Amino acid sequence: MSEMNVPQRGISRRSFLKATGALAGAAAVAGAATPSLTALAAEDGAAGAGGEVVGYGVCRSNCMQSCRYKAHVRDGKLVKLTPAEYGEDLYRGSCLRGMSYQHRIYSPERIKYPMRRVEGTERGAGEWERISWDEAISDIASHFQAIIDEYGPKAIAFDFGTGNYGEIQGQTGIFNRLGGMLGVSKPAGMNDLSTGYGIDRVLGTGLMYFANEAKSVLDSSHIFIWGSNPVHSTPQNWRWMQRAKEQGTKIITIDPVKSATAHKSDEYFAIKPTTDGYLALAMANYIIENGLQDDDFIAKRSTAAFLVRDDTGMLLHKSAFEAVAEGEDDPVFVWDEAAGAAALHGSAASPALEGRFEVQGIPVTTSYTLLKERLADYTVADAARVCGMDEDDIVYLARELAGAKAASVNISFGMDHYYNGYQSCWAIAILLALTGQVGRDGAGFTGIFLNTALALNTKGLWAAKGFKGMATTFPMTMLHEVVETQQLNGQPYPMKALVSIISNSVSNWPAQNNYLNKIIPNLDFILAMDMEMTDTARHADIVLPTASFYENEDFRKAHNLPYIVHQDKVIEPLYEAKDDVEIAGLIGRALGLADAFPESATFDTYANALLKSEACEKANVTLERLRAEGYIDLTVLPGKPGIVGRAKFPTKSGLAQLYTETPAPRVSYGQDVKARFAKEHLVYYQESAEVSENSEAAKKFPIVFYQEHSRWRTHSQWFNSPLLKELDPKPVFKISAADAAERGIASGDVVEVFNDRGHMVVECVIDPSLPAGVSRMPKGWQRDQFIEGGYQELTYPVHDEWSVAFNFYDTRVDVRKK
Amino acid sequence: MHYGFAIDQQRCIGCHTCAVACKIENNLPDEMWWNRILTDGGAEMDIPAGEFPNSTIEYVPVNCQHCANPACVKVCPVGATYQDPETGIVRQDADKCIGCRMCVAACPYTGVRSFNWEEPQFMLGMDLGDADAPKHQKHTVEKCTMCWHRVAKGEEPACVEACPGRARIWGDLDDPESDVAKLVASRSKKQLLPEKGTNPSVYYLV
Amino acid sequence: MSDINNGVGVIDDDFNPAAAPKAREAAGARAAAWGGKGLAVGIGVSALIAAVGIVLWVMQLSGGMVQTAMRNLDSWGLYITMFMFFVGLSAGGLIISSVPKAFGIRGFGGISKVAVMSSIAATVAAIAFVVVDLGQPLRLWELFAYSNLGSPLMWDIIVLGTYLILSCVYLWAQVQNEKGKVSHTALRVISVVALVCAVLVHSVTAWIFGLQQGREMWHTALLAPWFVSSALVCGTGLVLAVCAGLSRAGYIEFGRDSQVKLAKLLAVFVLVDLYFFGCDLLTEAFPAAGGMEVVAMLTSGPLAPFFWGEIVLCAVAAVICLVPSLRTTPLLVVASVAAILAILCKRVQLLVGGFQLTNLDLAGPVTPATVTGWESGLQGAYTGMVYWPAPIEWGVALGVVALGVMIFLLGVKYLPLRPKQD
Repeated sequence: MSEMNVPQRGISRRSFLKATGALAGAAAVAGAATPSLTALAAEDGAAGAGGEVVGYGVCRSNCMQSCRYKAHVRDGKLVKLTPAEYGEDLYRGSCLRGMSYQHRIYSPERIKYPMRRVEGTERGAGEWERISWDEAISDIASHFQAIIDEYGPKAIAFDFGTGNYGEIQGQTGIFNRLGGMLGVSKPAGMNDLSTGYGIDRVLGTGLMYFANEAKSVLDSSHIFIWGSNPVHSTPQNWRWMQRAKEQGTKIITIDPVKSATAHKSDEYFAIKPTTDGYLALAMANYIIENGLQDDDFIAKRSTAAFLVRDDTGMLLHKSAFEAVAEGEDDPVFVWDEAAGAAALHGSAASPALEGRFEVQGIPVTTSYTLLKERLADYTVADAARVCGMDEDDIVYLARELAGAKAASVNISFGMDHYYNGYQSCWAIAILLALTGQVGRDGAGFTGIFLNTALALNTKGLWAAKGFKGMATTFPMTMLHEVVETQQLNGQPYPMKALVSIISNSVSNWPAQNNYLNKIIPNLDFILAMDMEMTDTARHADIVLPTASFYENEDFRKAHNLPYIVHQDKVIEPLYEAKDDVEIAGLIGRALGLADAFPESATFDTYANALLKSEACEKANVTLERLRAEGYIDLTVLPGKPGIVGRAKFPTKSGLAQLYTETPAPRVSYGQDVKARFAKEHLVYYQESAEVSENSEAAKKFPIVFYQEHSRWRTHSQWFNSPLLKELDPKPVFKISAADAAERGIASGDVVEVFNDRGHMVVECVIDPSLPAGVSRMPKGWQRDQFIEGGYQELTYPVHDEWSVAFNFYDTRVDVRKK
Repeated sequence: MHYGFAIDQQRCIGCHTCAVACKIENNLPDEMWWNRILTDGGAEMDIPAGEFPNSTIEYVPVNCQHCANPACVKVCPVGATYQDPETGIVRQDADKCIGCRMCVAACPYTGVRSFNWEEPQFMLGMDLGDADAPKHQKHTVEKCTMCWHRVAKGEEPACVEACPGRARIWGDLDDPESDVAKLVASRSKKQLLPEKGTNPSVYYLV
Repeated sequence: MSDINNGVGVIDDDFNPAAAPKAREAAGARAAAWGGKGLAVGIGVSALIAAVGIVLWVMQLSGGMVQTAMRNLDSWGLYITMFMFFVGLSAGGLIISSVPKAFGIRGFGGISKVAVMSSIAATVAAIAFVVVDLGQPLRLWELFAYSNLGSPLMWDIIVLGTYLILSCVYLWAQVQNEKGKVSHTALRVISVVALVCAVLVHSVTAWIFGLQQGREMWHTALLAPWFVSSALVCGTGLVLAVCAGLSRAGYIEFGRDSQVKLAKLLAVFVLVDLYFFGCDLLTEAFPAAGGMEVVAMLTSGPLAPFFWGEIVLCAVAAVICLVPSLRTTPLLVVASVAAILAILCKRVQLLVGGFQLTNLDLAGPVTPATVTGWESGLQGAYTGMVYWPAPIEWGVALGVVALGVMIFLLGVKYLPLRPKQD
């Protein structure tokens, strides 16, 4: 129905590609940067009617949707972006941000030149002097060198953000080479990692690889949208869900607020914030009590039968009784019912799923029995109270899930953003395993699908002779402590400089006042590289202007899509902007790293290094082919959507784990994890730190506050788009009708939202999507856009020591009319 | 031949992508939106009506309805707004418009017409969109052209191409084989303000 | 002045065959010479204000109409309000002057030409209000080159133009008739045509609004007759007030009898106008459906001051005109001014009311071009009156009004508008 038949204007795709290939080759020989398309067109005389050249690119923003765009260039200017095709038409996507990216490129607010904070002015005072690139680089190099000489390279922190997912110019790109060669510190990332960490306990999918491909929902009979809002945050995925709905798939949303997605769903169930884990465990308990579980799945695809030693809490391995050589497989015992004895997994025809046994004097219990005993603690009646739901609804949800032909759970990072996020996601993963709703068509988690098929040669990009690697010894939440005390865990840890790389941490890390008052004033040097004056750039000593997505060449192993996608350089960087390859090279050479960053190295050099891997060879992924074809399909099973655990799960056993033998914290920075170690084997419910009704904060601050991922911005990107500001001009805080009434607040009033950590003064609106006691506001606004303060002042800087993640939503506030 | 739109409100998520595409494609001046996404809900954009948890919200993208019986065409004293006989597209000739705003008053569809209250300003200081995008003139009325410049080249309107939800379907309503005609024939639908007798060429699939 | 006519019942001069040509010429000559320093100052002041108005208009054109308060959702404002109002004002004079002639009955001899002059001045002002409202006045020629004869605005332009010409011809004919150069029959024919045209001009102006199915407030069949009645109210009021003033200045004789007759007419017109208003409100309100919004907006909503203003002013005018003991000249002037202001209130209700109620009142993006009070969002913009004029509009409007006054005063000064009796 929506097939397009749009004749292309301007030069044909074919002739354009020929031009790119030819010139790129020439450029490589000449050792110069790839010329822009405009230059190409001019030389080639290939520009069509109206002088419009069409190049292609992929949006590399952190919405993770990877939409591909046609870039229309006229008179050297990017005048239009239109959605470009992928092999699969429903993967052709777009959004208001991606479509209007040129409003960031040409924004009057764009950072145009290298700038230095005026000597003697405060950081953040907004006094800048324009400097040359030469001056900027030598200034940066001398600061770095002085710090390295006196404190060592770890006293410099590289902060990588998510503003660009290009493989070379982006988050995992060339600055990792610089950081690794210097041996700087890199605070361990903490964004969006609880979901994956929780699910990994069951499915072994690591931190980010838990989701099936978006189109897999067409095979789902039920889609449970659990604590996520794809209508706003991943509309390209919602497109598939909407298609599924049109085919008869039932969409059920479970969310504390009636999200945009809930409004579009067939059914909506409200739940108290952060109690999702309890609900999942109670559903699982009900399912087992009523025999609704998928016994076949449990027997064949889970570790139900694995025997756990009652004495150590470890699984009973072969090595318990005989020596197993280092590196050799150490299989687990199950109880062979037929033989009435323990047998190594795989050797028993029908191992006991349940029961307590003794193996050579060692008392053991099956994983499944232990899990069932744990689940028995979570009754539907209790869940109704804890979650604020009807018992009938919980039973209904349990029966719908267990009885579904194929159910998928769209999860993303809503629950993730709370202290107990990983337990919630872990619990849901257990629930899916018990019902067999994972590892097959239409079943499992959806969210952001990451392609596992193509391993790139990151080492080739990051490392050169003398590579030190970056020290990820402490998580981001601890940076303010380290900077303030110059210590880590009581040991000296000098921290003197911060480099902000496609990042806006001042805005996007929790506890903004810690950042502003403890990090910023206590550093010797702050370097920011950006296109716009973010909260972070405003507080830097030197700001370098960076190239936009369309001002350099790159490619993205597309998140969310089964493709690797190329980005043409369609225009020259505006003003004095430079791309990351060039900037990293300049800084590297200025610091004596000419071997790692030779003058002759171009984008091609690094791109070819990254693509030099076995997987790339097998998939025939080369830079030339990317340039020629625009994108390469990486689908593993032709015609089949990517499904996590289709054949086996990426756990050690290949099975869904009902019992975690060796739980480990996500990041180890010296924290004490002994206390909870024993508890971490089996899924359990933990209350959130602040949002929980039983928390200390709840006594003082009655309203839960979370940052809504709206369509207007991706985190803080697009915060200053003059176009989008016509549609969404200012920050607005959303409050429930009940909370507003209690405080005499009306829509349009200016309110102060506050807690012990900070405040913001902002206009408000009464939002009937919100239950009493919950508030929210679309995130991404910068401090100067508020009347006072900012929302990120309200969040807290602590983390669960196991998941070690940011907990942006685990925040309570109160509100008063200004 | 009579071109028209079907807008699937089940699919529409109110994301404004079509509005942005329109704004850029047609190089619209600052503050002007030919295609606006209205919230059928509470008093503020994106805010639902009703009470938690029974709140409701729908989106109504509204551009010129290209009425089969357009109120604006009748009232224009100089024929600057007129219906193209071949395509049914209601057009607006900026070179002819005397700026009397009679059509603005006549159009029942609040806000689809815009007047250039001053010399058109462009926030990026450069032209965007298609090379053949309409020129914008001070003190004249303008509105959605159904992307006349694209349709003339055999392309579909920019809003249709851009829609991530595939909620906008465009084509010849007179051709029973067209996607748009089939949808209009098979789905339950509504037109905006049918009581005004304008017979819009935009059908909302509900 | 000595030429006070104290006869009871002024015979319309057309019906005075005894009038000597010589006397008429004398009257003409004297009229041309009439006027003291006050009039000269009046002309000078109005010319100055008109000139300032023109300067402001040029500013509006060069700097853009963004300087006005009009925006996309309230795209007409003070100018079109005043256009309606002045079309109405133009009615009274011509109708009062022509009805007696057309039907061959006793009229208001002494004031006939002054009344027509007021019509001419008001018509010029009405046309000027359309012109200052145009975004592209330099394209006015297109009206003749590309006329869309189906457009009520086109009708109005044709009828208004015709009306202006006819008024001039009619005035000229009266003067010529006095000179004996135009026959009574011819004058009578012209008066009939002028009368038809006068009724048309109000109807057509009403149709600019009344034929628009898009606006609840405007879309009523009653609008045309109602415009005629409103025109009669304010036109009669204008004639009464102007004549009282000119009489006081000694320019014309404005007899008691004429005053009473005009007062009675004014009362009738006011009551008819109120009757129409009542009919309309009842029709809107009775189904207790969409129209209730209109009634609520008028009686208790943002337009209530203008609604109740109109009602009270009409009542005052009617009472003064109907109670014989109140019909003193000063009070009749009060009644006239009240009637005129009442109709101005009506015009404001009509114009702003058309925009105050939107068909698609759904929340959406709002920019400075969307609506006058955009800063407070769509809802805020409609809490009070959606439109209120900007300073430049007041200035331009004042200039146009001054232009009308100047034309009238020039007529008074240079044209033989005084009755021929000596």
